[in-house]
Amino acid sequence: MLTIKQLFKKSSQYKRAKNLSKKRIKNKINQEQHNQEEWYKLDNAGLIFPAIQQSSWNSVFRISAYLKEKVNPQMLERATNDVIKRFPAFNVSLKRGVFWYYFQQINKYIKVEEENTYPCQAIPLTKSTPLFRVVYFNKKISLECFHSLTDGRSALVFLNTILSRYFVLLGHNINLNNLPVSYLDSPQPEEWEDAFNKYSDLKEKAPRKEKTGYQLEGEINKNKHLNVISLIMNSNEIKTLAQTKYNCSIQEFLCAIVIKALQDQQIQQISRNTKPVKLSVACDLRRFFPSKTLRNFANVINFGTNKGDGELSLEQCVEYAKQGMILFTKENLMKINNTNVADQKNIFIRLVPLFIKNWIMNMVYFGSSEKGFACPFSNLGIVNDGAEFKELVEKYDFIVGALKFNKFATSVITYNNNLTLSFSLKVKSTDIVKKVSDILVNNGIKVHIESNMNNKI
Amino acid sequence: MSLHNFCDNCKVSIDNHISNCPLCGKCVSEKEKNLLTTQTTTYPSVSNLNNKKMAIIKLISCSLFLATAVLFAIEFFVTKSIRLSFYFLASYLLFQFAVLIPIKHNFSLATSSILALLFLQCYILFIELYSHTFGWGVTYVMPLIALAYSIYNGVLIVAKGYFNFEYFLPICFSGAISIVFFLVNYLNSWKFWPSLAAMLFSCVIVLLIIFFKNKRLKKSIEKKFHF
Repeated sequence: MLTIKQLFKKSSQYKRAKNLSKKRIKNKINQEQHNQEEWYKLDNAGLIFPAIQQSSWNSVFRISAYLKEKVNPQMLERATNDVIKRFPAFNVSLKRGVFWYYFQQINKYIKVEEENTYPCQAIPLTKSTPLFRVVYFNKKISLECFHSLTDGRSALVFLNTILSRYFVLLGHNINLNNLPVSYLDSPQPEEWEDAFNKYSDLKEKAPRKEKTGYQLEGEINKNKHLNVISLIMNSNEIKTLAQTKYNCSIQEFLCAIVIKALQDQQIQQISRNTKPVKLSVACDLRRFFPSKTLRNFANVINFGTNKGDGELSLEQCVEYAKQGMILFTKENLMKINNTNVADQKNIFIRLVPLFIKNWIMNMVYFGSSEKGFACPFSNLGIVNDGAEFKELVEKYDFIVGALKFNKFATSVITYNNNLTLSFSLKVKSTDIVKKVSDILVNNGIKVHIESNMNNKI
Repeated sequence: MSLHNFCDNCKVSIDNHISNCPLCGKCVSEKEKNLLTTQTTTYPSVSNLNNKKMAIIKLISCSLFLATAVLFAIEFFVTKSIRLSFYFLASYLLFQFAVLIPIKHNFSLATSSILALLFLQCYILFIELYSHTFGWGVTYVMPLIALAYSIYNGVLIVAKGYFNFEYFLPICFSGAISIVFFLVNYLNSWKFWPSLAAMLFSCVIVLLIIFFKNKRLKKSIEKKFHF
């Protein structure tokens, strides 16, 4: 039996506990609100994508991992939400400022859905929706990102971190130390730095002007959906062929094949006064400028044939590719970076309101940006991070959504001796892919094809 | 790798669920059939995409435009004048700019509400001027709408704790409009108590936010105006 004094003590203890729990709840809410007030400026490369978006299109790319077993959606969702805390600058939505767009942290629960539409559909940039999506289908897990958020290299790191957590949840033994980012670590500020600004010295700049290049023509798909055709081949075979027969690297060889296919396509349509056939080849700047950033840090250089070139042999195209790859030096990339950053830092451009800036960027983009090249070409290289998942992941796939005006895009990724060369086409005709495939087959390469083209209802 | 089809024309192997070669379109030869009953495709079957939302918005917009045009025609041919039709035209424009365009372009709640308030005020002013019944709109209805709008935003800010610039801006906007109404009514010696009430309410809310939530507001303004 408790005495009155004990009862009183207990009630005051209860009141203190109640007040403390109220205070804790209030602190938690304040902390959550504070986290939600975290915001990030867009990096230099990310500034253009929101400006050129349309209601049915924005710049999206996809990285997929094909597992050896069917995907467990509940575990995948749990893994995604566990890992997103390690990448706080990924759980953001796009907001309009008066002068620039910015990212607002939203800390939303990420829902993982079954894939039920075409790849690289526009990601809604409205209100508080995350700028990426995780979808699954059968044995495939795909991560689709809006390009302002991150680039292919960092998206691959994010996907591999999700996979590591997913496999751990399924009971597999994964050594997290072998991965570049472990979901058990805390986020580091260097991972969200704008590396473009960090490495620009604004001394020398590269010229922007480019001549109009050849553009693939064709009837656009209804609703502009993407037809994806992936050519899968043995990377050792390609490497041997490129080195022994053409004395070049895999990258140069693949660029040369695409250039040759485009040139042949152009000759078929117009036999003379040909335009230059150029590719916009992306380069990960982390190879030249050390940075831990998980945001965009890549630039592009356009190269290809000259104006008036007739039919070219593959050897001639390889020469063009080699001349193009020579341009990827630290000095050249620094100049390109300086040009882009100088525009961003120009006081007159900074003070222009966003709606006028968007209009101007759209006009400049339409007038000059994509007209200089026929297609973007992105090579993520060999997926070394996935070595831990050798027994669990069969292959990776990398699809770049076609740009605003270009009709198709090319992307490459290699894993476990499987090189996947993917074409995402906005047009109905697949002639260009057939030409590429013919070149490979004629050179003795065994090609396997995967595509979404047969799956229409 | 699982069993595949093979295209004799292109000399490539193809996933077994694909019946026509994506490169040349020909029906592929089946070397060995895949006997698995479970789905082995890498892409789902999809129907053609339909943007239902855009389709509905277009349908509503076209229907309203058509209805307005029909009313114009009926009134012109029946009464030989188009006086009443301008009311319908003004309503159509109000609905278009205050409702459909914000939905179509996914404007934020703050932007949508500011646009709705602005166009509603313009609509009332138009009715007042067009019907030559000046005095009820500028004096009573418009300030009371501004007051209701300020109360709505005030509740959002105070009760829900939304101290973002996005919710602060509408209150500033309605405050500015209320000040204009107050000055117009006061200088013309009309009844100014509705506009005074709206002005005072908005100013109180703005001052409360500035004095008590200035850190949050400052952070919100910093990200909105960063350059």
